[in-house]
Amino acid sequence: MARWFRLFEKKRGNRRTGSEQIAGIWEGAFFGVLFLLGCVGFWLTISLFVLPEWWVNRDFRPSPARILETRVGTTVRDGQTLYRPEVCIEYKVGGHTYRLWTYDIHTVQGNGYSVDKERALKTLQRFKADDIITCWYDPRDPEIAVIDRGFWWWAWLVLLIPLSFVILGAGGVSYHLWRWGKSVERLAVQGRPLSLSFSADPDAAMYPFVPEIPARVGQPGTHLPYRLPVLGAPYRAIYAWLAAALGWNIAVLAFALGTYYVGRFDWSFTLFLLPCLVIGLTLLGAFFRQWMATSAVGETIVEISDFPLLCGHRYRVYLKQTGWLRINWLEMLLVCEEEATFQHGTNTRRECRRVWQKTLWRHERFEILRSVPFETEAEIEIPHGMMHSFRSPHNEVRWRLYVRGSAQDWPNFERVFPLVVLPGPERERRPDSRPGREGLSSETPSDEESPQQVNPGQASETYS
Amino acid sequence: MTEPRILIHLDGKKTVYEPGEVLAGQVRIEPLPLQDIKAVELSILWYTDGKGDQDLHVRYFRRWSQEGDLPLDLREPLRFQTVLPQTPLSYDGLIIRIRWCVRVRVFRARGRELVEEVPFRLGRVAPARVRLR
Repeated sequence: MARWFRLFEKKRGNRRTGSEQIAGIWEGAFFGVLFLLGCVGFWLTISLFVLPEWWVNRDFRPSPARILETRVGTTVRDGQTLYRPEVCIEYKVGGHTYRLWTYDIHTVQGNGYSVDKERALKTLQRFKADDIITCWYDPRDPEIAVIDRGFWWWAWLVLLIPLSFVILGAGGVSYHLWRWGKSVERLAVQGRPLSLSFSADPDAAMYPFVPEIPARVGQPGTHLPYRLPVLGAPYRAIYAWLAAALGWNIAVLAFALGTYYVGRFDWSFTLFLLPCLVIGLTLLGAFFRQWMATSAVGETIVEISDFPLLCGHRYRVYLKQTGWLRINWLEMLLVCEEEATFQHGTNTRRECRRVWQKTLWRHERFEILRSVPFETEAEIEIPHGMMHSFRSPHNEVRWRLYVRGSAQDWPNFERVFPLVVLPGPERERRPDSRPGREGLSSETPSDEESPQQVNPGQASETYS
Repeated sequence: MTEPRILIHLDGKKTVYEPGEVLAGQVRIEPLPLQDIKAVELSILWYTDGKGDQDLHVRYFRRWSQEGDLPLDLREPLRFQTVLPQTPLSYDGLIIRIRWCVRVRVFRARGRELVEEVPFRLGRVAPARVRLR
């Protein structure tokens, strides 16, 4: 092995510590065993349940038979008593008289038992001694006869179990055979077999692996041509609190009704119920507070002069903030972030790091009235030499506009607006550029403003 | 016996390319007799590096083999050429890096496969850094 297994820590990502080939062989063997088990189970189910029933319905011939006696057959399996209906009949085939205990083909084979005795008794009620009924006998062996044909529907359901083993095993084996001996580059080009993804070929796009322009950006603005959609609608928090409050209170109510409705008063249950009521009221209060906060803050509208954006170009941005608030401070930031997703054992973790940000404007201590929303405009520039928007399955570079604010008597709020930034055309190197550096570093601010730098601690990690 | 080597040569001896530019070059494998080689694969690809799980995308792929559509002939260097896309550009970020390279794999009749790659930069995106005040 390349290195020791870390026994007490989850392995990070797909960094294997052993041979890929040997791992592939073991995985292939595992799926092979699964496939064989499925085939065996499939054949047993077919031969024990499905084929006999099909055989009875197709090949057996009818003959009149006289009922002599009925009974409930019993047996003990795994310490449990099982039951089945049994009928003694007498019939003639080819001049010979046959007498046997039977019901259906499973009874003849020694099966047909179940735990339900009542069902067996109910089945036997149809059959009375000395009645003449029709039986069906096997022309190859007239000693085998049944008085009930048909199919057990559940046998077809049972077939699904070995069938799933067969599908999983066959899929796993064929996948490993397809992968065997192929390099990672060849696999990337050929794609995965049986892929359910119908996404377009990224190489066909003009800007591969740049996120698509959100559909709602097509909505025209009132001041500038493009209105940006807001990420994560604020109403989600309202719905979440409402669902939690309703769910909790309904459960507590049902619990209480179930106890008190029968007229039983239990002190210990009442003591248990009190904190549950407090929690329920707290959740309702949180819902109302969130609702009022969202209503008070109002809608945040951001419009931009062009979309998508290009590195090295300037744009106008317009903000309109509605609501009824006494603002402590309100600001808009242009931000570039990186987000990386990785597997940590069986968990998926995400880490986000802010690469660059610039405060476009900040206003303090003013009022927003219902009839007079707050409006402002600013100019933004995506510095030349910055990274464009990028998204792959586990890594992303994204640009966003953040509108953040603090209002008296309300919690701080934040609205996020996604941007799509494309690489700009290469411009000629400036005479005052630093020697040995290609393009403009994200450290170098524009001539007029000094962008706010990011502290190394401004990272966030989520866990799922 | 001398260990075989894979020599990848990019035309123009460039290491930085612009989007839409033609990337061309050739590959030599020496000294390895043809009967010892089952196949040769050449890829022009980008991959990510850093905190996140690796993503990889092959922009250009060629495979020469004894049985395949492209017959293997080592008397001449193996040539390749493609037009580089507009994105993604090479990038050195804080937790994400995007690297472009030309990668060659030689599958031998006996022994482990040989791998060699030559990195290059696409575009001129500045590396991301954090400056403390």
